[in-house]
Amino acid sequence: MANKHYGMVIDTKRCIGCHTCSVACKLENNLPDKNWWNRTLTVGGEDMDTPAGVFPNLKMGFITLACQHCENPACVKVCPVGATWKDEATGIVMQDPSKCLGCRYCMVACPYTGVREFNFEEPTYATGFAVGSIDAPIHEKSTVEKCTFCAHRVVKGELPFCVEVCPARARHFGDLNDPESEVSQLVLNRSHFRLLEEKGTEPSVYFLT
Amino acid sequence: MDNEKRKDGYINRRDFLKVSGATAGVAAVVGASRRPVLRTLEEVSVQQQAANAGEQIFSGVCKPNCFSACGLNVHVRDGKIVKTSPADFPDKKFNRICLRGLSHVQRTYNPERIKYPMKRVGERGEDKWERITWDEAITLITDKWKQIRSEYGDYANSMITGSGSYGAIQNMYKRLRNLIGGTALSYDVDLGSLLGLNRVKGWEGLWVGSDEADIVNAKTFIGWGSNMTNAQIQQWHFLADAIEKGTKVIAIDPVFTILASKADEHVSIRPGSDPALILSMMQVIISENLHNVPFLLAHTVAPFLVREDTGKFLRMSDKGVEPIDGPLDAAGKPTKIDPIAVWDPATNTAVAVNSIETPALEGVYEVAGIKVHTAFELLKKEVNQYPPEVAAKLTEVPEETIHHLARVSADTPVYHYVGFGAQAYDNGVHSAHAVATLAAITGNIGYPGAHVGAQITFYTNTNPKFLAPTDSKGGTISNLVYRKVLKTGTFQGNPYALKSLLVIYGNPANTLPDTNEWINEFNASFDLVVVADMTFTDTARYADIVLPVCDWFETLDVVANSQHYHAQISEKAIEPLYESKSDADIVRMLADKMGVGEYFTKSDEEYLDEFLSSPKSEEFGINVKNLREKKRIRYMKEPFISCEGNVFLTPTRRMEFYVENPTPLASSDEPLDIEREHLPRFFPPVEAWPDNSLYKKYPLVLLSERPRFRVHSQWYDTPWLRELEPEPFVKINVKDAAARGIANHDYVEVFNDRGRAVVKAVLTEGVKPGAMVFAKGWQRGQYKEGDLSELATSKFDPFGVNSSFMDELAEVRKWNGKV
Amino acid sequence: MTTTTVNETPKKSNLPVWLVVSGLLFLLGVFAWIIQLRQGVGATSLHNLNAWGAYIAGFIFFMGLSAGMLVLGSLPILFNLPRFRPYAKLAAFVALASLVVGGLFILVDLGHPDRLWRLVRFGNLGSPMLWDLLLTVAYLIVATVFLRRLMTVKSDDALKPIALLAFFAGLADGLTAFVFATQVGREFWFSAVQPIAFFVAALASAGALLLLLMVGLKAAGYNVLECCDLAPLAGLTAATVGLGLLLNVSELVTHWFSRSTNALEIVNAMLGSPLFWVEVIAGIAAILLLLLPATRLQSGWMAAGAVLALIYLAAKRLLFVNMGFAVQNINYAGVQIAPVGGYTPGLVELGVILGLIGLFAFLLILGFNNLRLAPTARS
Repeated sequence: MANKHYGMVIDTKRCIGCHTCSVACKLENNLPDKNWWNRTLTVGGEDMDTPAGVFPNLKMGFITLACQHCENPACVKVCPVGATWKDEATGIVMQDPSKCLGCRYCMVACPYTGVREFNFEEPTYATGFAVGSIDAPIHEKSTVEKCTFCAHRVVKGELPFCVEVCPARARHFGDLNDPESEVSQLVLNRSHFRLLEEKGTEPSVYFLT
Repeated sequence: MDNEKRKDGYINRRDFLKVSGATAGVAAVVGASRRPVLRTLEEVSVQQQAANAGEQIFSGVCKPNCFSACGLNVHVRDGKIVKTSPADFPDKKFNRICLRGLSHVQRTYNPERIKYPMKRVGERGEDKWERITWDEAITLITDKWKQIRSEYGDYANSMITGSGSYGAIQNMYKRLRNLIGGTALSYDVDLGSLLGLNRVKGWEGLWVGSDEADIVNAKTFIGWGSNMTNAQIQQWHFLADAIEKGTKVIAIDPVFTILASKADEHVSIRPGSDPALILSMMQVIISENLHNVPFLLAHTVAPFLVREDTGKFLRMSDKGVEPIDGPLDAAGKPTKIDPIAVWDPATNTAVAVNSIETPALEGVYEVAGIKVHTAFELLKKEVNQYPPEVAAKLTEVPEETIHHLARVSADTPVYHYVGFGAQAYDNGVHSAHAVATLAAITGNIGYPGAHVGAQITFYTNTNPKFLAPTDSKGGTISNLVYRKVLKTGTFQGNPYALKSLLVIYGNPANTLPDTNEWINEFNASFDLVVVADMTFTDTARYADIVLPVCDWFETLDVVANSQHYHAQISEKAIEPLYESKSDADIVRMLADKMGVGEYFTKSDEEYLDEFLSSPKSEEFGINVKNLREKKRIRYMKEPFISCEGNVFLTPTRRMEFYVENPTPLASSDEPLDIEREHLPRFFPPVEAWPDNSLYKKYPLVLLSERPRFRVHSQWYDTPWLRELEPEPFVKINVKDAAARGIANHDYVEVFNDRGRAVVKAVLTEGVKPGAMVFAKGWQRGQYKEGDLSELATSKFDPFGVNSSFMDELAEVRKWNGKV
Repeated sequence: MTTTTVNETPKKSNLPVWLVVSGLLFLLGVFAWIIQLRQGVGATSLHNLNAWGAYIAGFIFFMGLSAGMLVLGSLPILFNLPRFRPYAKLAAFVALASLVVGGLFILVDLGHPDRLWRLVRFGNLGSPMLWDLLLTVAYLIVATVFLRRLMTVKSDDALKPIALLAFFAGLADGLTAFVFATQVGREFWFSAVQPIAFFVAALASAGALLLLLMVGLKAAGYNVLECCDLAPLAGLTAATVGLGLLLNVSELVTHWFSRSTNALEIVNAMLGSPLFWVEVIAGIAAILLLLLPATRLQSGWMAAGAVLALIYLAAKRLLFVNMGFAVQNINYAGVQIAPVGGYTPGLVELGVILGLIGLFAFLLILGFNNLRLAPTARS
């Protein structure tokens, strides 16, 4: 069976920066307090939900930023122990906390600011118990973690949780190797960009404009 | 992408990967690869199969006052809620959840939940408590209630119900109140748009509007003071679909909202001047002959002759035509038909409406010695006061923009989406009255894409007998009026002592205007304040007794109020935590001690069914049994078009932009200016206007927005949402800040004569100069000092009886306290 | 060259005191490290947007020191440079001690030092970090053998093969630079000049430390080298410090010239960092002290020059690491995932660093006391 190349397509025309995907990620993956794998960012002024420009000529938009599951991932190349690797069958870049040395080289290597997070201390949870999916990734002190495209859901044939919940219907997920897939069609037919394309990492996340 | 695919996209989203065979693909490669491909997952999924078997999913409803009523799957493992996810609606385009709905685990298991009944031991508001038993609490409350009843009368016990739940079970409290004859303090917010729209469109329901999916049929969508993308997140995707199909978007707002950022045009209007803009648009439309004459003649009161002396419509009897006998009314009483008169230009006489094809639209006439104008003539006279060159000065909207907006509005269909921004001023009724009139003169209503309205639906197909089983009812006083009642001890000339207050589903000390006044008045007047809630809100802190209420998923409820016209069941997913009790059980205990226990002997399920029972409910099959099975049942035809077929539930069955008998929404002691209310008019906000004497001292208008991080004050202490938005802030225009030496992220003191607060300043070009905006719902303890809800005025327009949240002036200065 | 008197039995009176002091410092470091292990790397000031800091700077510094020492130790043997020859043994020993300390800097930086064995079992040869670790092991072997040979073999000719190996090992310090210079995501690091810059800095650190040691050891009565013998070392140190500063200028000019937003941000961040100014001022002062006729070759001034050169280098290394994080490639407003403001090493980090420096001093003193490392005069 041909390998898949899972990718995400985010429609910035639809995205309203509501943070639902970010919170969904926290819930589904039982993320520790203060830990965000998927952040909603305002492309505009200095603060969240503020525009760029001078009144009344203003501009404001949003992107969400998580692991870009690059085809040429900088993180995988530098990990000294293979704790982060690219799954050949799906194109998903995985991260295994149980193998991680905690050297943070992957965080240094990744050009996408802040998509990898290190558990600097013992993870804490406001609810006091594990929430989200039963097969949510584990979270270990002194290890690096990041978005897995909800691989635990993908293996069950489900969409990443952030895609399922998006109130704006701005997020799409699918196989970029399949020219008929919704994501391939969107990328084919809509103008788009990828983040930091000049870095040559070949990210698998597309932003429609 | 074409619409068909788009639609399929929704329907198949969840099954998408299954269809594409991903499971098989991954599994195969997991087995075959040399690398540790998704190995951890494979290992985990073995554990998961065992554990998943023990995971139960209940049907839940997220039911705060955001109108979305998201259907939830509530996932329970080991007796604990571990997750909420979007539940399937019969039509998946309604599947919905947002950041708040996804953080329920943190609300249910919030360590700050009230765990036991508590009795105040310090001063009110001092936040010193002593744990008591339920029995003690109920006895304390009911003993006091009985004493007050015998001393001051039934009405002296009052109850205020906030918007904290859209569930039906809360009506148990109303039943109790009616049985013991207490006074309801109504929570009067956003009624400006309700009255303004409904007086013109007719009483179709509360803020009823066409299906959101209908936006796609409009050429243009105009958002009037709407923060849709934050306050009503779930409506956005329908608008986004429409944008993809070519609908243009105009956002009219003093704030560069996210909706404005998505719009083709953002019209930055002076706060509180919306009626002037709309009147001016109508002036342009009429002067350029863009108004829809056939519609005006057939479906509005435009041709009706209005008596100059009384302001009433001219009846045929006024010119001596005897009324004829009409059919018996519903009560079996005889009726008379005395038609309203219109002018027949062919014969130059006043004739009965509907007796001729084309009555005169305009003109001033004399009939039987009575001077009359057509209603349209009066409207024209009114709007002619606001040509764009005049309105531009009032609204700070350029003349050419007004011309342009007028032409766009006349190019129907237009979806006028009436937000709650423009109506939060003293002239708020008129902003909605005006926009409904705009729809009337352009015939922009009742067919696909043509719409004027807001969008919430309160399910009204219920059984009134449930609320008042003995037919006796308590009184109702607006929360705005009640302050004066407390001060004077009288209401409408009669003695009216309010002595106790029960607060349910609400946080009035935080979410109502002028909170200092609110707290001071009730502190001085009430002998007993009881708050039933889940957490120690600002209001709970001022209570004498607090009662711990169950979380939404610890008890059964039915939620039928929503934007999507579905009744849904909210099942009990877990046992109540701590000593919390369901509202139904609290009512039962109170009722027992008040001697009306006999009315509360049935089960929750039976009472829900009893409340919901009505011919309509029967037609749609809305009862607990069906809901248990189907979870979500639609009760409106689809697509639903507001006022479809030009059916207007007004007294004249026409759009009444001229209101013959203006009636206030609630009684107050304030004088009524009937003349003003006949037509949409512009008059300045009571405070937030440059002419106001306070303007010199307080030159900034303080606006508030309903953020996505809370619903009013709910979710105020949810950790995930506080990570996203850690503390209150006020957005100030860069120039206004510079003039005051305020730098970005400085702490500033925002103040006026009513109150003050210290918050972080966020400098932005996104707020109109002269205005500031803050996100509502922070609790007192979350501010450095004070609370921004102290600043809002409790002055109100006696017609709308509406909280004028934005009609407030303030000043801001750098705060020099210790951060 | 004049014959120098060599004190083969050094006075030990001062050294035990320093041994105790450095030992105590080391214990302090161990204590700080224990705190860090218990609490997590969060005990340091590192955060998600500044994932590396003073430890990595320490690692670069000591790896460079070791490389520089190997070069300084092997050069005179390879190329018959008698004026440098006296320090060979000392340099080889310092190289060895710096390696140990440099390696420990990596260890203390790890979140999971207990998983170090994975490097052996699951090592990813593609990772520059692994290249560097392999290099460290190679250094360790080469330096040990080199030192051993220096101590036992009399003939320089016989030393040549191992010296050659040591020399190349020293040159390979550029590999450490590859840990950084290969990173497309870090604009400041991503530059082919880094391996050269690292090498220059390595020589400077070795030169400066040797100078300091020579002056210090003389004061301690350990050896009695004449001052003038330090001239070439002082010259080398000044030259490499100067070269390093020139490379800084070159970095600034190339970034500034591009005018790209990121590059200008880097320039601003550099100019705005106190470390940059410490680096520039200490560097220039060091050069002046080492070269100006009024101060050159006077023990006190020379020691001061050497210390300033070392400060210059420490600042340079810390700045280098920080500058990798100075510009966020994607810098939009959103939920805060890191503290506001830049990175300054915290107490725990300073404790650990002091401890490792203490260990370094401890190892050196131990070596001075127990091995015959003193420069020996040759006719």
